[in-house]
Amino acid sequence: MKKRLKTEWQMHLMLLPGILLVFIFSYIPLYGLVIAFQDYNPGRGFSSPWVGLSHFRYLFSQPNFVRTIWNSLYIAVFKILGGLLASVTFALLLNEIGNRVMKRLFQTLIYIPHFLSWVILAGVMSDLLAGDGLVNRILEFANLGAVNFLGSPSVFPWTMILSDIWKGFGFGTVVYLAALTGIDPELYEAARIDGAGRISQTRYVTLPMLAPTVVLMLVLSLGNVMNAGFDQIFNLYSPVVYRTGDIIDTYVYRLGIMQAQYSVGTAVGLFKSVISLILITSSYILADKAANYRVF
Amino acid sequence: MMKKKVLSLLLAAALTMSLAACGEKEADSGSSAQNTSGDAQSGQQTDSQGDSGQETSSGTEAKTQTPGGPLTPYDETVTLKVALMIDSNLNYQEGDDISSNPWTRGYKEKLNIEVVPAFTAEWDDYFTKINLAIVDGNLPDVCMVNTTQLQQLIQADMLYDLSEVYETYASDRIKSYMALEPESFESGKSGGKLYGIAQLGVGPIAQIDPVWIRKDWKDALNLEDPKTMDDLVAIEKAFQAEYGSTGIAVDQSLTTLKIMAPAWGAYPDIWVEEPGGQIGFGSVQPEMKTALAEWAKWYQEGIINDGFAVTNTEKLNEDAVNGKLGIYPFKNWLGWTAGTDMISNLGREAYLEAYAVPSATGEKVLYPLNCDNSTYTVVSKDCKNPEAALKCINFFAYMENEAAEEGISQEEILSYFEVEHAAQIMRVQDPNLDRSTFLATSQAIAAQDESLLETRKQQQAYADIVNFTNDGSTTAVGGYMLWGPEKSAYSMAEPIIAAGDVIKNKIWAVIPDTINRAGSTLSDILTEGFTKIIMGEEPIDYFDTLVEEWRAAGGDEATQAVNDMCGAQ
Repeated sequence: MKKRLKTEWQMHLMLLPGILLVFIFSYIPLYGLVIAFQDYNPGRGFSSPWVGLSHFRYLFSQPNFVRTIWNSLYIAVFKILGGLLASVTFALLLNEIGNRVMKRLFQTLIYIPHFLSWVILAGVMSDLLAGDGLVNRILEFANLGAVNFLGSPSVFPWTMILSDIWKGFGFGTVVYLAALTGIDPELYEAARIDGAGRISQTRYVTLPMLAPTVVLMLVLSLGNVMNAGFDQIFNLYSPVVYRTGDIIDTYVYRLGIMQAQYSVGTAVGLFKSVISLILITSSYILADKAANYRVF
Repeated sequence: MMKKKVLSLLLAAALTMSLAACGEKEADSGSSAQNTSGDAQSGQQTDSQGDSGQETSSGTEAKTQTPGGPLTPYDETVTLKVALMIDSNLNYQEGDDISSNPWTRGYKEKLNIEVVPAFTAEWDDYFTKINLAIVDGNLPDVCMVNTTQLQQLIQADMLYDLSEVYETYASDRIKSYMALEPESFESGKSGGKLYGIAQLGVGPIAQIDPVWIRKDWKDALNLEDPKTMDDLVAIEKAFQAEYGSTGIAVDQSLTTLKIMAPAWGAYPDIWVEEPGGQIGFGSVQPEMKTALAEWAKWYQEGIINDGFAVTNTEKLNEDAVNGKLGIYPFKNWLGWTAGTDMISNLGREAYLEAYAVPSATGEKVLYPLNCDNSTYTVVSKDCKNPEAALKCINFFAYMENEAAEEGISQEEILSYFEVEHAAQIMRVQDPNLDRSTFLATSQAIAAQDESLLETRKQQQAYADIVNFTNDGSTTAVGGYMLWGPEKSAYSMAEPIIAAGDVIKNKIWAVIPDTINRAGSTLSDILTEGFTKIIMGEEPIDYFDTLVEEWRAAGGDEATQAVNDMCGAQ
């Protein structure tokens, strides 16, 4: 250890700013979690009166809070899985394009939505998906019947899931493309000599070689499983779809933030963190068992 | 969230410290030169103010200078650090800005008070910045706070007890405003001590929401004014047949439908007296069920737009501008949000006329009234001259009223009120302002005599009416739809106010904690359920289930709290 520090001290020095940032902005503020157990008054700061678990009790006594947990999980899980599927598929397809220009063009095209804000996209979407919007005009023209994309409780979550996948899969695709270029060409050569076609090469060479990256991305995204996308849903939902579309963040926004209820907001944040921690830990153990993926 | 907060706190702390240091130095150096002019004016001022000026001198304790009456200038310049609000839509005269404008010069010349900004913020950020100042423990001398912040500040003991200062320095006019809205005034008190000066609103007349009907369509089809709800539906049907109207305007918040609810004797969102004498929430009364049943029928028949559940107000205004709406129940300011573009897009006569909500039951329609005070002027506990804030507040009312009588030119007064928002933090509004303005303007219009106009607001209203009538000016249509002599929001509301056909929310100015705590979750349950009933996803009787749900989610608690509070008064 000491020896390595001596020889590699430059590396550690480079690590220092990152560690400092994390310490200052992620560890020190942890102290602020105490206000989840206080009746926080900004004027009195951290010496506000202690109230124990009353904010948590209050939250769970709200009939609609539990439903928002399920909605969040439901929407987030499908967003993660769908996003994964879409990016891997597109990465494989793009990888097969021989023409460099075409490849770059498609890669850029699917990557662009990633850079747009949901506030803007929500405006575009509510116009396109309205009852008399472009999409429904086309559906009606094709005799498929109009779909109430944003106003029907059964369709709304899927509108959110699909639009989020569309917006985000370009980023994943770029990551997987990079992983694909890292695969040793000799493996394909060997497979070809063994008589493997395109499909078999993908099945027996590409996918197994891609698996560690997929697992890594999955583990990373599981930390977000309680964040079903506030920006997106907040800008697109309406009371009629609360039943299936109201997620923890939007609910808490209406409950606490609008009324400047710091304590309730913090209580929810803490609750979400605990759930996320459990999920990340278990997914990490799973990844270790199933795909031999470890950080340490 | 947390990261940002800590950083911004540190920054804010650093900033305020440096500001505070600068402010003190300036105050010292600027004070000596002002003595002579101050004395000359003070004599004149005490005369005009009569008794109230006399009493005060005895009440003041051992201060370095005698602060005098409500509008007496200080002998030595007093510096007041105020959290000011800016409005980027507003243009100042060349060279002016938030720290130097007619108001700040007025404070300096007439009162010898130097108002310096502690910080400035737009409306959207203002209360957030106040929150930061509270967390920071470094409140500016004077700022404006909302109800929640007032309570937090009182609990944290950060405010100056203004009880005496108010008694001594508030002008008779300010006191007369407060006498009109005693509940709002009292809501600034805690434990008998006055901490926040209620800023009040422009009065009940502004809360009577009309049903707006498009004038050109109604005239072209020769339709009668609606007397009953059936008439209104008939008008909508005629609009749909002739012009392809998409239905009576309704949005996802159901605001426009709720405006019409009194037609069925329903009062959603306010607390009313139930037949048994208890106080109950209007949205869960049986009358609401009747109204919902009717609206569900409307939805089926296409009387209201079928996509309302995903429509917001901006979309409604777009529809109105694109000529798809003929009936639009909304607030009185619709002329500014939709009216302007309707005129320029659809023609001179394509504006909206205001009608009272027609009755559906044959009984007289009463209109819901809420307390329109939502902000308070507060003074920091550490402020050395709390009475200076009161003087500035007096000064605003003085400029609005007495200034004209005392020979200050209209032009000068106008220069103040063109940038009225610069004085927003230190003012109390006249709760009768809009009504008296409307009445005076109507008289002047009827007599065609501009000299009858006394205040700049009346002049503005008069000018809007004249400009729209003569040239169809797009910038004047908002004013015309509000102040106009007939079928305007106020001409429709005035007889209602005069006759007292209103029903006051039982919660006035003070909102019980339980309700604040629930945020919007209680009304969310109802909005969601009402939407389902109207869209036919649930039968009418689902209303009863919904009410049970609402009660279990905290509605019962809230009702109890309201009854306790009202019983205690």
